Amino acid sequence: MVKLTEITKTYNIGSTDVVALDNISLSVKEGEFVSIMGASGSGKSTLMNIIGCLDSFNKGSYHIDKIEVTRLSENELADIRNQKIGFVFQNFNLLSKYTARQNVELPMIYASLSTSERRRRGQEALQRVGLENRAKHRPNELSGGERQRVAIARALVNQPSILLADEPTGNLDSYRSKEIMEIFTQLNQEGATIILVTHEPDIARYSHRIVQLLDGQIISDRPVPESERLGGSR
Amino acid sequence: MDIRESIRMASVDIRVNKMRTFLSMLGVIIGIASVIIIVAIGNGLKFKILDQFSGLGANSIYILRNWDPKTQRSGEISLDDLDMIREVPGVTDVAPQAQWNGEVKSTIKSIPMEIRGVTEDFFGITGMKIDKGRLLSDIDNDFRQRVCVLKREAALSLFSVETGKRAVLPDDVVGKSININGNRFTVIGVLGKEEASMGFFWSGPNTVFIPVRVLLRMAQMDTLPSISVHVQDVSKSKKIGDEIVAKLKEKHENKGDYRVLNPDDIQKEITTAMNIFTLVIGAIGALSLLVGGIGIMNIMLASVAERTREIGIRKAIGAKRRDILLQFLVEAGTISGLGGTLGILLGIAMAKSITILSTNEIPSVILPSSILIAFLFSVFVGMFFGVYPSSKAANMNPIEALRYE
Repeated sequence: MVKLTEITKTYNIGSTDVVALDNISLSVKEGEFVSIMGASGSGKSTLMNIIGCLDSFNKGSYHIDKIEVTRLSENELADIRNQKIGFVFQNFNLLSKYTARQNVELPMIYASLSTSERRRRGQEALQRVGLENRAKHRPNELSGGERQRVAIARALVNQPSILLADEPTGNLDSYRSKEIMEIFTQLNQEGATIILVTHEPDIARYSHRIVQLLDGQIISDRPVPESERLGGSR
Repeated sequence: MDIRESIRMASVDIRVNKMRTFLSMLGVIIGIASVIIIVAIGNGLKFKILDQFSGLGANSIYILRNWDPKTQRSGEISLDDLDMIREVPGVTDVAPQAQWNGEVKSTIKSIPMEIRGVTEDFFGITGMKIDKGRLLSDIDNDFRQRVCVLKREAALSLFSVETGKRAVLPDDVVGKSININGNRFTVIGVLGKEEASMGFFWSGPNTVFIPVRVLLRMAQMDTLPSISVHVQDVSKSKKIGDEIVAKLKEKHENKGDYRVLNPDDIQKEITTAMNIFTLVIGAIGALSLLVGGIGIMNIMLASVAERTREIGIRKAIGAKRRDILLQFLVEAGTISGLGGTLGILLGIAMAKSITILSTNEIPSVILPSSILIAFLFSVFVGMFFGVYPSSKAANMNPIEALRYE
């Protein structure tokens, strides 16, 4: 599904090169729920951006659904982001002038779907996050938890191969965080592949596998024992 | 993504920022309005002038005296030449015209007027109709009768009796005496209401017509300033004109030169001159559109900067470079197209007001083609000046755009 091979990424700040990712190899299989953890500056955001096809890298190769991403043009990358990846951001990143429904429909506009198809799938996605009756509200009329649920619906709507969530609970209180993580657990049980970036161990415990980063390198990659897992029926 | 989605997106953004959108439109509104006004008035004047010529009918040519540098004289046209010209093949009618200004007195008023020396044919050619009395006849000319026909307005200003609000002509106008530049004339007729302007024969409302022979003698003119010649076939008017000039020169022993005026040529000249006038003034008006376009560019640049994060979000969820480019281009085009529409409405309203306030002295004609061109041009201006801000938006790096606070 997602396969990174010996990825190296350096930033050029002034005259010095800063290594953000150092020879990273990582595979995520279909249906997995993986957390990427690490302190700030460990390279987890860079890794996220590369997996999300927003950023380039200096060395290595990256395959998503067996497609070699390295050689793709900017337009093809936009298509990958549109079709294969669903982003959920820490600060929701909804467009404030659009209603919940319009926000959810936006990726489908870029996918050139028909209006009726957009309406149908948008409504379905809002139902999956339990917001079908908030479709006509603008983000400023929704609570933080609801906003993040709209963002999740938007990420789901093009049936992507992976959901990429970057600190999705970072701006939420513990009750709302739990709510959001239950949704992710639910989606994963329905078959979604999820990669979650977090620095909170309690949030990472909802996933099944935790990858630890430090200074651009993977220092541990271990499964979460079922007894420690949160979410779902437990 | 198709263009309808872009327009829908643009309309959302325009509604969110109503005031800002309006302000950025202002330059285009003013620019388009001024171009519409100028072109409307330019066309109005053109049609007004052409209209004055069309009243005469196109099958007339005019022979005018012209200065000959060799002989240092202008060609003469005498009344005796008229019969000779009438003999030229293709000529149906010849009408002399002489004009003089003078003081015309009735028993109650003294008014400066235009005095026209004409023949019987003149009234037939111009289609002027008598209301009271009779028209001038060839006999009046042959016997140099001191008789005159007044235009209705002239008769009113000389003889009218005020009864309440409306001026009324006394019933016994015909037969009254008036004094034209010191000579006594008898009024034999008053013309009816004028229907169309008469082009070359155009005369003001205060005009009195007298036999041309009487005028030439009174004014001590030994030559007619011009004659109008009616021809059967317009396509031959050039040839006939040249032939008449040749005959005149021969008869007057090449003492002076003549000039032929063809109404077709005059109309063409007027049309060309007015078109150039409208184009030049219109182009100056279009310059203000340039300012309007820069205004839109300015607002679009601010808007792109302000919406950096939005652009990042759109790119993250799959917007291509061209989707962003199209979105902002369409937004700029929509703003300026909307401004153009408002400008067209404002321009039409103002052109009509100018016409009404000037009591039709300054006519305005708004052609559908100018409306269409103005609208398309306004959209083009917006898109042209939107290219730079839009490409700036389209070329943003999504990661940096997403990080933007």
